[in-house]
Amino acid sequence: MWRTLRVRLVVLRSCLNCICHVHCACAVWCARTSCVADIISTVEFNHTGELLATGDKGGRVVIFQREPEDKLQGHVRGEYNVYSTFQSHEPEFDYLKSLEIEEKINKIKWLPQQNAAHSLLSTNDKTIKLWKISERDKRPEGYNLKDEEGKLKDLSTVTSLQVPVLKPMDLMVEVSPRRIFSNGHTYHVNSISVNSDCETYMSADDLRINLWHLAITDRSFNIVDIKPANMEDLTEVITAAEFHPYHCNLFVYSSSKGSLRLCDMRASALCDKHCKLYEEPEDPSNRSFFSEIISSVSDVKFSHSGRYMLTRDYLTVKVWDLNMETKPIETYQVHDYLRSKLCSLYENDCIFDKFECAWNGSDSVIMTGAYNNFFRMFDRNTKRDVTLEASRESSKPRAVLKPRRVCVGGKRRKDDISVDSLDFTKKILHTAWHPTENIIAIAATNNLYIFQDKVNSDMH
Amino acid sequence: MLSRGLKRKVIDCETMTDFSSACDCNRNTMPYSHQRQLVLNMCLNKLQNYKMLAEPNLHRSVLIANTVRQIQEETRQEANQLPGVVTDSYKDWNSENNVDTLMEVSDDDMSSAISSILKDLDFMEDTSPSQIPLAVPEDQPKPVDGGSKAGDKPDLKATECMFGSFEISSSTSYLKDLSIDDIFDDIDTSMYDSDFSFSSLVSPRTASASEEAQKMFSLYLNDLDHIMEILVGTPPPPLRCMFCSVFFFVKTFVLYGYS
Repeated sequence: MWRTLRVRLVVLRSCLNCICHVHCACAVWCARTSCVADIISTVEFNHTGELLATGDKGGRVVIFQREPEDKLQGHVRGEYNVYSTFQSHEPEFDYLKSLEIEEKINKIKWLPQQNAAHSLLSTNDKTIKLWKISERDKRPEGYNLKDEEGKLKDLSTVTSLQVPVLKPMDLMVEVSPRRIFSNGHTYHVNSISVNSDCETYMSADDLRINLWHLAITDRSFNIVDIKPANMEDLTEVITAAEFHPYHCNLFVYSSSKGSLRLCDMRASALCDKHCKLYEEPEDPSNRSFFSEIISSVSDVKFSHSGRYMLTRDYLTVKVWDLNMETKPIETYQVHDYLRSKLCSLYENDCIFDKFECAWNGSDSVIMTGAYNNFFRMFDRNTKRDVTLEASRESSKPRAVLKPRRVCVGGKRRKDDISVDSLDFTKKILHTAWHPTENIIAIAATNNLYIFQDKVNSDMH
Repeated sequence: MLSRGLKRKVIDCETMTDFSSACDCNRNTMPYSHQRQLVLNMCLNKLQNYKMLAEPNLHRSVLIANTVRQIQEETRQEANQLPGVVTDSYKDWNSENNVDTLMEVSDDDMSSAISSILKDLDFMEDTSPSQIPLAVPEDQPKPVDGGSKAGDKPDLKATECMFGSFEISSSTSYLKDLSIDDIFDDIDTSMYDSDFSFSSLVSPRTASASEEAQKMFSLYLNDLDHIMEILVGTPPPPLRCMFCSVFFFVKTFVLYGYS
């Protein structure tokens, strides 16, 4: 099914601080240069899939909204347009430690919608912020004591009373900071996750996990702390953490040694002792100097059903059953041909890249990124897999993506790409899947690609 | 030379310009101990360069430090084994290349490099007043206060660590009661004394040995420049770890210049 993915929309960000929505992208792509601040660092759909948020290295958040179905007859449903953009984090300098704090957005998480407004959490290395995104299409007019510009009137001119009225105006999207959760982390925040109780969330850094109440900014509770008394004994760090989608007491965190720890907050307030440890014994035949580095988990995601967990390490994605700790139930090779290149990848630091992974809406397909602007999809039922490429050449609007193949041995078919010509600077680290439909968002350095499944779109 | 009698695709080696690719490329032919040495050198380089980064990355440094620890552990185990228990391929390769001993950085160097890096991280992160867990019973969640308070234990410890790294002799015995010669004794550079050089791995088709020598020479000149940069532009705490790498490079440079 996903073999016939369609390009529905290509959106790109430019260096000029403006956002362009491009239907026919090519001309614009070439005209603009890219800069580091535009590199997308996170992508996240909201719970309905109507909104899509991206964060970048420049601290900006851009929100895309899906066009409503009835609007604009000529357009097919599914196109995402820029809805709002705002500066979430600014670069800071810690004078006490003489450290720069980057403005890069590490993660964005949407809160379940409670009223007409939307809310999201965004975080950089240290500070988490809660933002409210609301629409306004009316404004009050006819105040008794204030004039149009909000200045107080001269009271002597007020001779009669009137009732203020709401007048329609152009739609305005307002983004306002609601809470700033600072000073909770000494190390770099790598994950945030909103609890299913909708009241609390957790934030994880390299060594600790804190639990916050969404309304309280001046204190958090430390629920996991793996910092050893002596830093010389440090051998393991926390790489990602997430709450269970239904059970508000359960959360999982992954480590740089390749293990997952499931914790129950009912057991004790400080969850230093996990209740389940998911770990796969190392395969001795694949042992190398880099075994530990490549087994470091870069992302962990609960399935929508809450039954499985998906983890990504450097070379594979694995599906774990919550009920089985000894080994994953499925392991998929993302780019096994890199196994013989680990030494080079270590030297150029690529081996430390943190790839994310995603489930589709029905938990039957998983997706993750790779190098050379390739991304991979694995069908859990049929065991088929596909490599697709997010590039402007292949992504003209409504073009069908062709599966790509990396050839390892001597036999090379037409259109195959050899392992040696892979571009390791073009990596797809961040991907997101629409919560119910087959729409995916792929962040390839400073470009965002949104693809939609052809079968799905024809049904609409 | 290593390249003798080896089938190797020309195209592979032309595109590969560094030791690591050579390691990947010669995985089946290069003796394990030399692969290990390559990896170790890379690790130590990374740990050293890491100090110059504006944004320290704990995850990355821990992974690198663990790799060094793993190599260190292997070396220790080998050292405990009886001498003479060496694999055949290794012996053959050694005799071909006149390498008598393993080229190794000593245990102490590695330990001190790791601990210095990790300690410095502690110093950098933890003297911050930001995260102050209050004294609460173990089972209770620790409230993390937004403001700053003084006098809790983790902070005191961090301060000790900080001073610990200022004082060269305090934490490890490295450099404590050694003369300069002893330090050099610690660092085995036999690999550079031998005919074997990394450039032979990288460019097996290079014509003359003198060309290669020149290449290596300028390579180490660059290294030396780099080290001087680090020395000039670095604050005191990392110096201890820096020393081992500096001596390592300086000595190899000098030896190569004479040979």
